[in-house]
Amino acid sequence: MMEKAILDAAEKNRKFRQVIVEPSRFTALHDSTFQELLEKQTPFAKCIAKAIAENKLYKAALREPLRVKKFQRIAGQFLDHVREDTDDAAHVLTMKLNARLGLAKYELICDIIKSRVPREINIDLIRNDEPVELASKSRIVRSLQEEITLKVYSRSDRLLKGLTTNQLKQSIMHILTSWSKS
Amino acid sequence: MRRSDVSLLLLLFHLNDGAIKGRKRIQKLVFLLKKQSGIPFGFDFKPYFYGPYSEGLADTIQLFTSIGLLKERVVALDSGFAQYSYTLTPEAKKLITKSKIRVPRNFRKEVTVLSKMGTNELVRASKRIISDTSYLTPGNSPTRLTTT
Repeated sequence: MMEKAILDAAEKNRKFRQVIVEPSRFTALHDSTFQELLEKQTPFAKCIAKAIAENKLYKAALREPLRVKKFQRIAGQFLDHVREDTDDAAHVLTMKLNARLGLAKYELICDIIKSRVPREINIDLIRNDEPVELASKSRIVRSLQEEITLKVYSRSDRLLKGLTTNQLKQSIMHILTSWSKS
Repeated sequence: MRRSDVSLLLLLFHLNDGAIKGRKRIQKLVFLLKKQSGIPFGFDFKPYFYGPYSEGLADTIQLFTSIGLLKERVVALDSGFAQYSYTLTPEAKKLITKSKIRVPRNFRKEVTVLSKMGTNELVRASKRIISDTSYLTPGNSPTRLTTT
């Protein structure tokens, strides 16, 4: 939520953007001053800043493991995008999903979450002049699998009532099938 | 627009009868296809102790496993290494069949040639190329090991 409010404000206000990108100015802010600053920006940013303060957060609308079994015709271009920049892929999906459903910008927010799995851990024990990999010693390490989850959040309850999970999934499926970065 | 790395990589597995044994083998196959055969993979490679290695490629294999395009099998070897094998899932096979991937002209031929080579042979060939192409510049030296 906060991220989208910041993006919206930064898109329309150059001065605000400068505060965000300059580390010294950004770190000089604290919670309440940042909140106040955000409330002085676009109507959307103001609304989100207030909602966060009042603990009126977006509602979870969908949580689905991102697997080809569920999203069968996923485009290679989408996977390339996720690989290169997961956050940007989620942002583009957010924009496309709202547009496809005829909703205002950021009525729905998409997130792509990757669980972290260590790629390779070498332990000190040396064999044949090479370090030994922990995965060769531990079944637990060998069985760790990365999971990617697609989450969709909705700004209003009313929207959730009018939109079935199936409609949401179908729309996402359509977008993922014919993916383009913009 | 460059071809999708994802499509090319899926095709590589497909042309290897749907399975490749060993992370090291995948790395060297892709490297040789890119540098020796001119297949337009976008992955960047750096020199490591077992020859060229691409973090981007390793991440992509991880992504394929996570979303269910590849099935990963890990076996602990007596040598102290873990061997990772990857097999295309039925969903990935369907995706390859359905999607119209444009196959680079010499791709099939080059994959057939490289697939007949053992992993050690691939490592040697990759190391020859990487040393010829002056990758070993200051700040670009081998810093870690890759495993099978």
